[in-house]
Amino acid sequence: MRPAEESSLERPITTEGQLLVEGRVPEMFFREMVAAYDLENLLEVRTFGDISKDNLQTYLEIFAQKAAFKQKVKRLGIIRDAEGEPAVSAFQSVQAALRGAQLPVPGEMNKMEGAPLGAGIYILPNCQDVGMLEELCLAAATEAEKGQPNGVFPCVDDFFSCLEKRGRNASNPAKSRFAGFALACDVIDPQLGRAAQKGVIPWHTNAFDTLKSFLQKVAGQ
Amino acid sequence: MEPPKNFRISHLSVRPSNPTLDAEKYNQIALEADGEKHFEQIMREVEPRLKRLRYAKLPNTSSPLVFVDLGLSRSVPATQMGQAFNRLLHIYAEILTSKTNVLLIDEIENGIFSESLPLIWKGLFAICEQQNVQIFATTHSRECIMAANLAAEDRKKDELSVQRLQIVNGNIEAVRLGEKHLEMAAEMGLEVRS
Repeated sequence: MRPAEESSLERPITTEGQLLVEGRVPEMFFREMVAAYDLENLLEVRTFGDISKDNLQTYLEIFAQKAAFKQKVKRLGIIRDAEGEPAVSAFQSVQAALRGAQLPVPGEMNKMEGAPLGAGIYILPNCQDVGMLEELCLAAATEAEKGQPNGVFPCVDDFFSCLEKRGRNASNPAKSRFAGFALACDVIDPQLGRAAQKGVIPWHTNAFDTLKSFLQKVAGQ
Repeated sequence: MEPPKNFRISHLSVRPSNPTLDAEKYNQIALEADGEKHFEQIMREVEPRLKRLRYAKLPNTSSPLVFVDLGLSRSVPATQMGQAFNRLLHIYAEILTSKTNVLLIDEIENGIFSESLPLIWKGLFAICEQQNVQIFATTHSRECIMAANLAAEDRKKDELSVQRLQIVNGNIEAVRLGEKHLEMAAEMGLEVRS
């Protein structure tokens, strides 16, 4: 079985920093992000599956009880989005899961707390607004494209306005717009993770600064 | 704490069972009132075609065997049945003849095709309940743990406790894995053995 297809928990725990994200697509995305920031030797990314407080708590109970976790891990980061609910509600849900799993509970978002094991929570897109990872990526891509004569966003926006005129509205505008952007960059698979693997995400833009700093904290930098 | 009076503990090792010894034990059970009936009833959990079990010796042989009546023209020796059937025959015969309260089974999955494991566990839960026996089984097999959990879920009686032994910083510790952990592990394909 190729590493990318292995289940997350089955990959050995080898770094002091561990990052848990919500689902396979974010897992692929954050692996690329970690590599882009040269944190691969300090931080491993895994998915805890679909978000629900009970799911996350159960996953944390399994994960944190592993011998390798107890012996190796010093910092645990959890990232989820605030899709359809305020960031603070999403944050409280992760706090409850950590508390239920008897792990350190940070009092604020984007902050590592606890010793000898520290835990941190980041709520996408920016620990404040309702939204998701795609919105952050669109902001980064817009920033990267600014001032460039051959940007793709005018084409993407024209495409969606054309559809809207015909009464076809996207049910999830952020995900659709990102898929349109990925397609415009010649990535046929519209999933965020695949786009990240294909190199269309501009990692070194200001839009990612806060998230990058969170990853660095989990990595111990 | 002292165990209760007449409290018995038996064990089964990883060695393959001896069909003749199993047959002798079965014969001992069959001599008791309703012994055959109880044994057959439990074995039917894993082999619904089972009509009768018989202790017999073929002509020109010196060793008795258990024969299984499946409603065919002739009974077949238990040794011709599947591994799950024979493993359970062995375990049940031990439980019923030793009148044990606790049975220790080392590497319970040993020699059993993984697809038979759910049947094995189904049968084990049934006899534990019927005979008021507690089994402590060890395994290295993920399939075995998952099969035990599946069988326990079906029975809805909270009869299974899985403890993983692991070494942390030189010390052995036990970690309890509950039903919800095993369910998630099964759904996500997660490793539960380390």
